[in-house]
This record gives sequence, structure tokens and C-alpha cells, in this order.
Amino acid sequence: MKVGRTSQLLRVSLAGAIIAAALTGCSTIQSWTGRGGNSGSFPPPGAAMANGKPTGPPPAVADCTLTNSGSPNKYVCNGKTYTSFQLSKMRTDYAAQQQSGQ
Amino acid sequence: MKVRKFRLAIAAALGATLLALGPTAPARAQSAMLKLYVDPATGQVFTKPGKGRTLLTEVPAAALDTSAIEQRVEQKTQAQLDANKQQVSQLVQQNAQLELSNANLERQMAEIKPAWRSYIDNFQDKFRVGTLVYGDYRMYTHTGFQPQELTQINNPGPQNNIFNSFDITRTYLNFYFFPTDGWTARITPNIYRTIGGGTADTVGNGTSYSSNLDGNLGFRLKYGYLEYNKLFNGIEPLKGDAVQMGQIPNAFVSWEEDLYGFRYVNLTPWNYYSLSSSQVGLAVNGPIKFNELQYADYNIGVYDNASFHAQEQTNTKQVMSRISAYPFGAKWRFDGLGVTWFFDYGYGNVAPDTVGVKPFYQAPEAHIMRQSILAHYTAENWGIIGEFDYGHNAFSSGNLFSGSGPSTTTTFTIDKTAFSYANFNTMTTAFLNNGRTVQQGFDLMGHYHIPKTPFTAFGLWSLWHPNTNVQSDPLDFQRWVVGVQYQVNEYLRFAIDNQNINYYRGQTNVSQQYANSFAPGVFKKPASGTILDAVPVDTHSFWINMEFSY
Repeated sequence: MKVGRTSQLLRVSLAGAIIAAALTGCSTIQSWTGRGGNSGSFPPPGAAMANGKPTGPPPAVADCTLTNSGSPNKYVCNGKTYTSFQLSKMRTDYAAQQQSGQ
Repeated sequence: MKVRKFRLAIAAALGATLLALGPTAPARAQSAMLKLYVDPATGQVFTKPGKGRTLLTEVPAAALDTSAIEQRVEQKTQAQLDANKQQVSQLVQQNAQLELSNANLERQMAEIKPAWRSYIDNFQDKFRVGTLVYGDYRMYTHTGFQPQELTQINNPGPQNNIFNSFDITRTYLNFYFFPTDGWTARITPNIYRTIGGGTADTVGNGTSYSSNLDGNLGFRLKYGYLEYNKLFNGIEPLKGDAVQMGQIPNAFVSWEEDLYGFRYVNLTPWNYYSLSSSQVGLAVNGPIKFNELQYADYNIGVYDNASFHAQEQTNTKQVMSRISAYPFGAKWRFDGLGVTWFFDYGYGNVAPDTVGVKPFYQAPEAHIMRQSILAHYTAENWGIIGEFDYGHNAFSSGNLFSGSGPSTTTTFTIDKTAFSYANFNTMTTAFLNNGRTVQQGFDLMGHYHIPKTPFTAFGLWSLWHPNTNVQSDPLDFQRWVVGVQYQVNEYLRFAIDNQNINYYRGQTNVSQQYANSFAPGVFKKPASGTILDAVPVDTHSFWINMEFSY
């Protein structure tokens, strides 16, 4: 009986350790790739919205790829095409929103 | 009698006063009495008895109540205050009415839109202006003969190490007009460096004005065209495709610049070798889409044989086409795997009646052909391009030496030995300008954005054979560029990079006779000499590049 209890405890501990390791590993990978959470990417579909606007940060131009050089430049961020003007406006609007605390 | 009348009058007056103060009188009955005396002779009234004075009357002192007087004064003051308050209230009301009236007037004035305002509102929806500026600082640890790394920049040849320069290589002023639905007019002036030419003007007998042409940054037209993008709207897969007329981006170079993404640092392969990015002519281009996915992208054009900075002289024209296929469907312009074929066929820009002369004869009017096959993959954080280039008569000595070339008229001394580049230059013209040259090139380009940072690493490597008909061609070279970009914001980016030309063949001499086999008589008989050290020296340089795009 004592042996059985020890064995069960060991199994539960091992399972817990594996789950904890897996969760830690996944969260580490997420932080490297920027996927998951709100770590820099534009909120994915279904993300929290307020007044029809995403509450997370907009895409940063450095994270986008240039597709058209011109006036204005065009970039693709998370599969969507933006002009440099649109990216700039989203960034400044978001900064103002953060500053006002709304 | 007179005194009696007077007494009666005063008594009556005092009695009236007492009556007026009526309600207070009983309360004051107990108070002291004020006695008044009169001098009948003079009629004067006194409060103290005296000689010749008789008692006139007695008045209760309480009848002379100060609070009653104060009350009357207060009542009077209150009445005055009430009157003032009413007046102020009336003034406030009048002021409010005036303000309302002013507001109405201002609103009416605002609604009156003058004609110029309407014109501006209308104009701003049909006009856009922008700019694109490239600048750099470059320093050569080793200088040498080579093509231009960027538009209209030059460097001294060998023996000029540590040459360095700040440059402006592009200042587009992009004007776009959208007069009617579907039509766009674009006008883009750009700077260019003027080189050479110009002699002093003589004025009168003893005056001279210096030429100011050499070295100036002048403006010239880079793009000037009309575009119509409604022609194919009836065919769903071609919806939005455009027809362009005028001085337009050619079928390949601008497209590849966008695919590569670092034009402000270095030129893409064919642009570097010989092909301008702008051509005067007519083209049709655009994507081919099914279900919102782009499966192909094309550009087919007919142009002058002359480049945009030369005058057309031929009775033929040049045809270019580019077709890109995206077998898995692209969600955006370069998304995923793509395969591209570019083809260009034209002729040298000389007049039809040109009579060739020895040693090149009709070579200047020979056909020019360029082809490229590219395989490319683009993701949001990285991209890679593999390219194979093939050409006929598409790389002349003028192209090889567009950035820096040998002087054919000067002689210099190295270790007490007289030396000249004249023979080397003649050999180069024999190898590259003979009208039967074949070019071959291999290129690899790519970039990788370092996640969560503003930095992107990029690079280009090219292997170029200017004429595959030349055995162990001393002019074969590799070109490589590596750098890191810093994206400051949506409009501004910088790069620090290293650019190199490596003439990779081992140093060798070339016989004049061998050169003559490509262009008979390029070296005069007996052509028994040799071109010493025919392999040019390498070029190495460090750069800081800047792009501002708005």
C-alpha cells in the first residue's frame, strides 16, 4: 500500500512536471516567434476590441514586408496590405490612445 | 397771535410725526421727554429754556428713533440695488442676444463657400504628391574599374584607395493626377549627375564664361505617363490591370526592385549590367486572379530602343515581357513561391543609314537580347531569389566602365615603367563591343528580418560572364553585397553595408592577336604585343545608405 501511494505520487508528479515543462516550452517558443498573446502582432481575428477598434498594438513597419515602392510605399503585415500612411496613422493613434489611458 | 399760530403749526407738525411713528409710541411713553422752547420775537426754536423763550411743546425722545431712520435708508438703498440688479439683468439678456446673433452670423459666413474653396476641395481628391530620396556615404578601401553601384555615381579607378563621398542619388518628385475615373497621369522628375562636356563660352573680344555643366546635379524626367486601369474590368481575372503610355517603368527592373526590396542600397542584376528601369513606350500589365488569389502577374511592352536618357534613332522597336507564376496562389503581391521569366529583344540605338567602320563595322546596330529566369519565395519576414541571366550584346565596355573606366589618353609611371590603360581599354572593347557577345549570369539575393527588432539582414551575390565566347575572360567577375538595414519608421530607413567586385580570374596577359579575333584590326598590324595584367583590380567599399519615401 505504501509502495502504491509512493508510485501514484511519483506518477502524478511526473505528469505535472511534463505538463509544466510543455507549457513553459510553448510559452518560450511563443515569445521567440511573437505568436500568441499580444506580443507585437496585430490582434488576430477574435481579439479583444473596443468601439470596433483593436485594443492591441498595430503592426510595426519593421515587422512588415515591402511590396511596392512608391508614394506611398505599400507593406504587407499579417497578410494584409497597408500603405505607409496607414501604418503611421495606426501607430500614432495607438500611442495617443495609450497616453490618454483610454 | 402770530406766536400762537406758530405754536399751533409746530404742534401740528410734531403731532403728525408722532402719528406717523404710531405703533412705536406706546413702547416709548416711558422714555424721556424732549422740551422745545420758542422765542416769539424771532420765531427761533430752542431745546433749552432762556430769557424770552416760552415752552413750545414736549416731544418723547423715543419718537426720534434712529433705527427707523436706518430702516428707511436701507429701504431706499435696497430699492436702488434692485433697480441696478434689474438693469444688469437686462444688460446680460441683451449680451446673450448679441452673442446668439454673432454665432448665427458666423455660421452663415461659414456656409458661404467661396469658389476657390470648392476648387481646392475638388483638386485635392484628384492629386497626390510624394517624394523618394536616396542618399549615401561610401568609402572605398580599394578602388577599381567597375559599373555604377547606384544611379549616376562614379569613383576614381585603381590607386585611389580611401576615396570617399557623400552622395544624393535620387530625389523623385512624384506627381499623380486622377482627373477622371480609371485614368492616372504620373510625372516624376529626378536628379542626375552631369558628367563631362561644356567648354567656356566666349563673350565679345576678351571675356569668357566658364561652363557649369560638369558635376552638377540636374533634373531630368524619370517617369511621365498616362495609365488607364478600367480596360479589362469586364474580364474578372484581369480586373484592374492597366495600360500605360509614355515614359514608363519597364517590364522587369521596377518589379524586381520591389521583389528584392533594397534598391536604395544597390541595383538589381540587369539594371546593374545595362538595362534602364524606365522606357518610353506602351505596356499592359497587372495580376491575374481567381478567387482573390493571384496566380500570375505579367507586363508586356513595346518601347524605343533608346533608354529614357537618350534620343531614339532606330526604325525598329524593343519588346519586353515578364510573366510571373504563383502555382499555389498568392494572397499578396509576392506571397509564397513564384517563378518568373523575363525576355527583352531590341536593337542598338543607331540610325538606319549608319555605315559601320573598322573595327566594329555594324556591331552598334546588332540585336540586343536579355533573358532571366527567376525562382523566388517571399514570406513576411524573409525572402530569397535565385536568378539566371542570359544575354546577347547586352553588356558593352560602356556598361562595364559606367562607374569608373580607364583613361585612354594618359600615361603614368609605376616603378619607373611607363604604363597606360589604352591597351586594356582596347582589349575590353574587342571583347564586349563586337556585336556577337553572349552574357551569362547567376544571382542569389535575399533578406531576413530579425523578429521583434527593426533590423533586417540582406545580401546579393552575382557571378557575371560578360562574354562567354572569351576563354578565361579576364573581365569575369563576382559581385557581392551584404548589409543590415535599420527601419526607423514608415518613411525612413538606413543600411550599413559592404559592396565588392571581385575579378576572380588569376592575373594574366592577353595577346593582341587574340583580341583581334573578336574585332579584326582593333589592334593595328602586326598586333604582336600583349595586354599586360589584363585582369582588373578588385573593388571593396563600405556604405551607409538612406531612403526617405513619402
